[in-house]
Amino acid sequence: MSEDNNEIKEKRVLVLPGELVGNKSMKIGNGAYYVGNDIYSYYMGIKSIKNNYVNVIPLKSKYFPNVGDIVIGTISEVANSNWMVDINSIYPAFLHVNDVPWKIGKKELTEFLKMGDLVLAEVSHVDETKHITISMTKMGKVEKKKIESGITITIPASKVPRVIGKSGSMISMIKEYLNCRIIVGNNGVIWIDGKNIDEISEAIHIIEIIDSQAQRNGLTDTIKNILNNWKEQKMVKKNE
Amino acid sequence: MSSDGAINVPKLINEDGKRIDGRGLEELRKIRMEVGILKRADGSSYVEWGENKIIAAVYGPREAKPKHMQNSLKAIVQCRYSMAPFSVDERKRPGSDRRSVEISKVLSEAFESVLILEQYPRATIDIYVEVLQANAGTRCAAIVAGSLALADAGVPMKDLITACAVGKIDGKIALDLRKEEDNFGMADLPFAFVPSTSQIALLQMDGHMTEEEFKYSIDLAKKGAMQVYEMQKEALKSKYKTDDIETENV
Amino acid sequence: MREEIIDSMVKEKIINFAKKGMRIDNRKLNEYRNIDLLTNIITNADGSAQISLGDTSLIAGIKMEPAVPFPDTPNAGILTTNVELTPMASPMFEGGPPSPEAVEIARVVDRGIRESKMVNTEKLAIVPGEKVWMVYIDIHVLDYDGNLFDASFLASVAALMTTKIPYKKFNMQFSGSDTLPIDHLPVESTYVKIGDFISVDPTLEEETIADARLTVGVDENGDIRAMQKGGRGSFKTEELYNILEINKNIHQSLREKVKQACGVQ
Repeated sequence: MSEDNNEIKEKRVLVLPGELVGNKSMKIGNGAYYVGNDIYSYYMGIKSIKNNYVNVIPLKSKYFPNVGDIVIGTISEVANSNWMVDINSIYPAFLHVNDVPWKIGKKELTEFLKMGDLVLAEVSHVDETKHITISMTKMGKVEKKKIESGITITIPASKVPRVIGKSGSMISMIKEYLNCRIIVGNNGVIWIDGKNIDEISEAIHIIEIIDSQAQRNGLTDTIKNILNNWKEQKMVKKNE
Repeated sequence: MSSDGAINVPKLINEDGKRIDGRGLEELRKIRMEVGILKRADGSSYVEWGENKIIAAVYGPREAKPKHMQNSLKAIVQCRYSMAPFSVDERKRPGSDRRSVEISKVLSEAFESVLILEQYPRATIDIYVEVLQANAGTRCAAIVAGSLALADAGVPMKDLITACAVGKIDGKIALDLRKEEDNFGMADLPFAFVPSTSQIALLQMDGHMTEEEFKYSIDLAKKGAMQVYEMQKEALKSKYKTDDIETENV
Repeated sequence: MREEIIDSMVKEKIINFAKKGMRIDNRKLNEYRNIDLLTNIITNADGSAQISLGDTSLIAGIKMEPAVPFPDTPNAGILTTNVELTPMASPMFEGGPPSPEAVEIARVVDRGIRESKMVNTEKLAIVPGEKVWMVYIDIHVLDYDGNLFDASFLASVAALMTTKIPYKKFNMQFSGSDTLPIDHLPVESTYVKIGDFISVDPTLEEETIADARLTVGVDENGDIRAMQKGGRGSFKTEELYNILEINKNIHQSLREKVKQACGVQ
């Protein structure tokens, strides 16, 4: 992801599927393929050559999880000893009764999680046939749980690093100004909770701006200005 | 298609070699393309080709349902070609018909030839094409629109697919027939093509041609399709070019 | 039609916003989304209009042809409405015969147009008792983010207002105008009840979690011509009257939009 600093960035080159992006002196990374001695792109995306590997980063892509990703998902199916969870990916994720923080025993699964319930979980396994398994019992920085308050919004997963910022700088700034709790799922689903609707509404607004302007330089400053203006306006309203 | 022995078949080419809309034999109709025009779909496009108005949308890759449709080794491709009731001269009853079913099938197969399916086991790539206004050559326009929508959706492909139809009017081979030419002409040949591999992804023909006429038609179709290909690339690039993204001229 | 899976907290979120008179997309409760309405989009059709209502977008096309009249109305033209929920508009729509949702929308649109006597069908006879004009209203949905009722209705009305009767195509003479005989200009507005709050022009999210829905069709005099309640919940009488009150301030501006799009004063 591009860093937010004042360097002159090298121009990003947009390529299309079937476009020539390299030759046999290079190696193929992600998003590119060989035909004979030439390398072509699979995607409409940005060409990126690193260490002689030719990559094409698609402009649009669906989220596909890595093991360890934190995801926020919605229960989409209840079966006998598992749930299926929509994690905003190509495939739903599998959540087994043994991987939740409750003892199910002989009870109905719906007593614990039913259709439409939201969970915060971790991706525990992805196999070669792309079956995805999530778990709510793994230890880690984030407590996995059923989400029972607040709201969620969804952005493309590729924009998540922008919302988090360098070493979490962007998300910390937003949380501080708006006095909200925010958890950003790697799958692009973001949970926001706070005492005040105005603050939650502004948080949604800010995240939408980051989504639409992710490519631009100086984004952190732009957001900082917006937050400052919002804070001032709030002061003015308070004093009226 | 023409009926042999038809009376009152209009003259399709005049003394100056011009067709009824003023085009030369090897000239395309006016084409306009736009990408990313729908909110809900993963990718979309809108193509105006002569008086054709076609919209395409892609959903996917997404899990294939019902389960029995799934292929455990790769994604399946499902293209649905459909015409709006108001798209044609005589109102078309809503719902499927045999012509749409056949076109859907040959379009699905054409797209399959360039899509990377092994990457998405148990998934489906759904391509929906709606003809809002028809004036011959809709399946070629559908290939073009579907191809743009797939690129817009970020579905990996070996290349864009491009297409163009060729026909025979007043005994001469002509590029990109319009409705009257298709109705009263002597042959119609829709053609779709993958430029980077020179593979022919869709080919149909009905009418009457000698082998020589046929070979000439294929050559002409390729030429027409390559012009369309340039427009497709331009439509994608112009949509997504910004201040800090540039494109190379290929 | 498949059900959309909306997470269980969306309703609470919307109610919390509504308590402050707000909606998630920054609208007020009685505010419509942005409407873009264009007529004469499909030249093959006898009349047409394309509408975007927020992120909902569709095309209404009118096709006319001579037909045999119904025996009980031998001198009247026939109106018929159909809605296609194309699979491209939403992952919830599947191809195939019209779902109950599609049929309901078509019939509610039809009701509003028919009961308001917008089109004077008595003037659509060609040979009284034998041949009359059949008017097909076909709605083709392209993108779905809630409120297909209003989007379909506004586009259909605009399409009818700008329709040209295809006399020439059917080798018929005519004198005077070739526009449809239009006597009234109805509009329809759709409201949803979420908790204790009433909002107009629901988004998909609002529509999905709403307790109940009410579509109201009124003519230019504010008289009620059509109504449809939907959803598994119910309205109290006061809520109903409240909606009619709110609607008084809304229907004229919708009518203005339609007139503007049709180039009518």
